[in-house]
Amino acid sequence: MTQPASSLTLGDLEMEVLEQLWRLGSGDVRAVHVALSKGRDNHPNTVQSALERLFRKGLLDREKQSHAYIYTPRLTREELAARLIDETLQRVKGSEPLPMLAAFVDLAMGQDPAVLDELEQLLKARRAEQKVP
Amino acid sequence: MHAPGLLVVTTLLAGGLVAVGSQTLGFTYPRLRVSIERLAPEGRAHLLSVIAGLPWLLAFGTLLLAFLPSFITIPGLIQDHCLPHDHHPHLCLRHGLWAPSGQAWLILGVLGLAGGAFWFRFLRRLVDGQRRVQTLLRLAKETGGFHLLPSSKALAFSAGLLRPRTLLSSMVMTSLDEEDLKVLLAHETAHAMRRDALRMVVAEAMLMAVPRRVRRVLLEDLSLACEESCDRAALPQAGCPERMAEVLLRVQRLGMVTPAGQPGATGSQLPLRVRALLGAPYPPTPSWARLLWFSPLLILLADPVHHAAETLLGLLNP
Repeated sequence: MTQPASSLTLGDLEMEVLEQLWRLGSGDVRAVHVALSKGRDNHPNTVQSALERLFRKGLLDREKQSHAYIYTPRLTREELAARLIDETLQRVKGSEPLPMLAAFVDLAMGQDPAVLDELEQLLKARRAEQKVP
Repeated sequence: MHAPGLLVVTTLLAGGLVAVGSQTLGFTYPRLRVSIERLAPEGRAHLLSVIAGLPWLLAFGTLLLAFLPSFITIPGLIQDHCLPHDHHPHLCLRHGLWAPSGQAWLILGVLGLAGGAFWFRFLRRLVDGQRRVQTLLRLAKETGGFHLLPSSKALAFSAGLLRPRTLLSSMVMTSLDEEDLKVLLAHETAHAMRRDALRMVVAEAMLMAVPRRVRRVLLEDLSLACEESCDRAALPQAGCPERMAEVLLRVQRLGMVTPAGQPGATGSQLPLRVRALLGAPYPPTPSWARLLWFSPLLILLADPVHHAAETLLGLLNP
C-alpha cells in the first residue's frame, strides 16, 4: 500500500514563516508579515494561508487574543529536523523505500554491535598482517 | 495503418516486450548474480544499470527493427515493395490498414492500467522524496561545500536527483575529527558527482515489470556497487583501504541508535563494504565497448522481427 505523503515537508514560504516565528518566539499574521517583508513581498493573506497550513500540519500552536491569532512554533528547528529524519528513515526501511534517499540508510541505520566488533577484529588482523614483513 | 491502429500496435508490442523481457530478467538475474558480484564496483554499477534497462532496450530495439522496413522506404532509401498481406495484418507506416479488434483494445487497457498504477505510485514516491530532500535542505545550513543538518543522529548522505547536495548532521560534525570528515565528504561528494541517486531512481523505473523480489535484490546490488565505488573514490583522501574501513566503522558506531531505538540489523551494506575494502583487490574490469562493433549486425534481424510482429498481431486480431 502506498504510504501517505509527509505533513512535515515544507514549501519555501512555510519555511520562511517558521524561521521568523523561531526568531520572534511568537507572533500574529501582522508581525510575521512585517518580519517577512524585509526579505520578500508577500500579501498578508498569503502569510495567513501559510500560517494556517503550518497550524494544520501540527507545527504551530495558536491562541486567540482579541481578534487575532498568536502563533507559536511547537517544535524547534532541531526537533523538526529530527522528526523529519525519523519519518524518512521509517520510509527508507519500509516496503517502498525512496530510491533517491537510499544512501540515507547506510549511515543512519544501526548495525548489530557484534557485527561491528567482528569487522573491527578483521581490520586489526589486516593491520597486523601488514606490519609483519 | 490508421492512427489508432498504429498506437495500439506500438503500445501492445512495446508493453508485451517489456513484460516478457522483465520476466526473463527476473528469472535469469539470480543466476547471473554470482558472476556479476566478482566485477569491480565501478564496472558492476554500469553493468547493473544496463541490465536494469534491458527490458526497455529490448522493447524499443525490437520496435525499431519491426518498423525498419517502413522507415527506410519513407525517405526513399529503398523502393517501396510491400506485398499484399491477406493472412495477417500489415505492419507498415505507409499503407498498412489495421483496425484493432476488441481483444487488442482489451489487452491494451490491461497493460495501460498496470503501467499507470505503477507510474502513479512511483511518481508519488518520487515527489514525496524530493519534498523531503528540499525540506531537509531548508532546515540545514550551507557551509563549506556541504549542508549542516541540526540533528543528534549520525547522518551523512547525498540527496537530490539533478543537483545532488551533501548533508552532514551536526552530530557527525562534532564527533569526527577533521581527517575523518574529509574522508566522509569525499565519499559523499563522489555520490553527488556520479549522480547515484538519479541512477537508482531510473533503474527502479526501468525495473517496473520485474518481479518485486528480484527488483529489490537488483536495486540492492546496484546500491552496493555505488557505495563501494564511492568508497574507492574516497581512497586518495583516506590514504589506504584500511583507513577508509576505519572511518566507515567509526561513523557506524556513532549511528548505533536508530529512531525506533532498535539496531537495524538488516538493510545496511556496511559489512560487505568493509570486507570489500579489506579483501583481495578486484580483477581489472573487462571492456564492453568492443561489443558495440557487432551492433550493425542487428539490422539483419529486421526482416524476421518485422514478420514475427505481423504474425503476432494476426494472432491478437483474428
